[in-house]
Amino acid sequence: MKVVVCVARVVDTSEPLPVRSGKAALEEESLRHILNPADEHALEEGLRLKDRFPDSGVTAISVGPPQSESVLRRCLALGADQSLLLWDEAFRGSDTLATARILAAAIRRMGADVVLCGKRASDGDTGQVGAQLAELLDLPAVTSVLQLELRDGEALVHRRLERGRREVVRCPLPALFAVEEGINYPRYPRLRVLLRSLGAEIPRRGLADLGLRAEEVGEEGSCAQVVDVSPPKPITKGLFIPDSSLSPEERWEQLMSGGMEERHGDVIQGPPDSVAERLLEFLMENKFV
Amino acid sequence: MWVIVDHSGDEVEDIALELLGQARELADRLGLSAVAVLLGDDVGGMAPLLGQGGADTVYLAESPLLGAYNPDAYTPLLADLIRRERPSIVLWGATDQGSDLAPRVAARLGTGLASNCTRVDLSEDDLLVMTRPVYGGRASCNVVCPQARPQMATLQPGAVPAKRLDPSRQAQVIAVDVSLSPQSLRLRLEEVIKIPPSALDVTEAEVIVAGGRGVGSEEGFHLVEQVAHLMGAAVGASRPVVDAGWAPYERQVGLSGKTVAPRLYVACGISGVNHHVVGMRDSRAVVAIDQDPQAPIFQIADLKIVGDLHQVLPSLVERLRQLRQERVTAEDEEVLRTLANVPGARQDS
Repeated sequence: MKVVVCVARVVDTSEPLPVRSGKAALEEESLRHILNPADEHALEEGLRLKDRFPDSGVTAISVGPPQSESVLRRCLALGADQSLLLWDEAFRGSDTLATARILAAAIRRMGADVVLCGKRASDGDTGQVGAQLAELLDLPAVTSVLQLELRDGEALVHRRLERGRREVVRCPLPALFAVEEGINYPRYPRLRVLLRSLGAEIPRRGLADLGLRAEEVGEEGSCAQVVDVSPPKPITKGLFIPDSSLSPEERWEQLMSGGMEERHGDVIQGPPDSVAERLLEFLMENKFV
Repeated sequence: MWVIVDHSGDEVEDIALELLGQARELADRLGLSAVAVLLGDDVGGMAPLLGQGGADTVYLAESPLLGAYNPDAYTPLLADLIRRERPSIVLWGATDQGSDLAPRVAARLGTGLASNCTRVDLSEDDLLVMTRPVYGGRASCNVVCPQARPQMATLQPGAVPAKRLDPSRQAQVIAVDVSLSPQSLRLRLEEVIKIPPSALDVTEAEVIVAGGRGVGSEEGFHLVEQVAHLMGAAVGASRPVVDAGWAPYERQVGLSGKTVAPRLYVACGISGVNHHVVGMRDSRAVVAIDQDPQAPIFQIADLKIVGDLHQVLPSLVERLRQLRQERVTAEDEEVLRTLANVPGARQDS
């Protein structure tokens, strides 16, 4: 079985980010980058398929600048058999659909029984590439996958829904699955494999190798454009007027926080029974019970 | 100006009305009509509500094949409809369905999509400016789609407030032909599993009842669990409770546990140190029960209960239990009353 895992190099969002108002993008190259967490789970799922079906091969592919070799190396260290970097200067500035076009071109050439990707990238957080890739490849696809089981050329998949519900879907192969981070615990690399991955040659494919045209990809091939990036603002629920009884410093703090910090709830005290009664009223008023 | 309606099969979801309110406002500014697109099996009954919510027109596609969400049915249907009718803007809910469906339709149409938006507005040249969080919520960016049409965005539930319904408004309902063959559906829905709220992951729960150091003992924590069970809520815990072994680690809320944003968070015996609060401060409503009136948790509580949880919670458990019994009998009454009104079942002179 041929398993292809799409991975991405992302900004490590657990570190402080120097976001300044009105800039089109962060100076991303000065930040720390990691293998996208959801993609690591997708790779683990691919490796587990290989554990179960030993004649399988797992290939990790990524669209990104030469620095993305680091995350492909990480995939090799974790146990991927092959890796492939898809990069061309023409790819720069691709939106999700253009990225999906590049991945689709590569996967069409390689062929795949199972395509795996992470549900979303931790930095861009669009969660679109998986579903768009499936459409371009005309593959059946399930997103938000929490459990994947292959049996007799079919997949039985648990899809995560809201309010704690799960959908069990039967899906023929070949197919694409976009996995959630909760699907598995990724393994650690083995030292021998890790050392080998450090010196591995990572092949690269560009525009012409993939048979793509420059106007399909990169900025030219992208419909959605990011105009600017700014620090997030709190959503205020109406015009905020600072409390004049506060000191200037506190008022200033209130203004800066958008006035959302403190909640002025009712204080309830008294015998336990009356307190419980009031609590129940609150719960019923707001339809929580 | 289109809105793709999310519904549960019987009821329109809140997000659909929120989107319609937003669509109405933008449509008026652009001089367009607001259209709600309703797909499903036998869902025509929801159309009047969509009219009251602001839609001028409701496109109604009904078929047994559209009963449960299946991307193989919804994607081609919507892509064809959009290609034919050429809306300039399409809004979706960033829900299970919208988040799966919108990117697929965007790929088929070759247009841009901004997902999980918190805001949409118009620029000076009447482009849709879609604001969405990036870098794990540490920044937000504005996205536009200058050339391709339609401009599409999925909006987070609750991002825009729903407008008041206008009962005098009516929408024109246009039925859409559904030409789908069952063979074209590759995915097959086997079942929907509902996880009992008490076993539900805290990050997915709508209501969480959490206990902290103030519960004092494993028995004290059982009280919290009882309340959670009776309220149909998930159980949460702060770090001291997990460290003491009264609750498993996956129940921990806070800096070293999980970050949650339920509709209601009931904090029992949680003082509210910063490490805990960062994990739950985005909850829509917070009820805090603690003995210490100075406890920092009260600063972010909507209902502040100063008292001993070992006395308040048992009393609450008793009341919730009564309420349950009353509700069951009330439901029985309702059924009996309906039966009594069935013609022929009972004759009144």
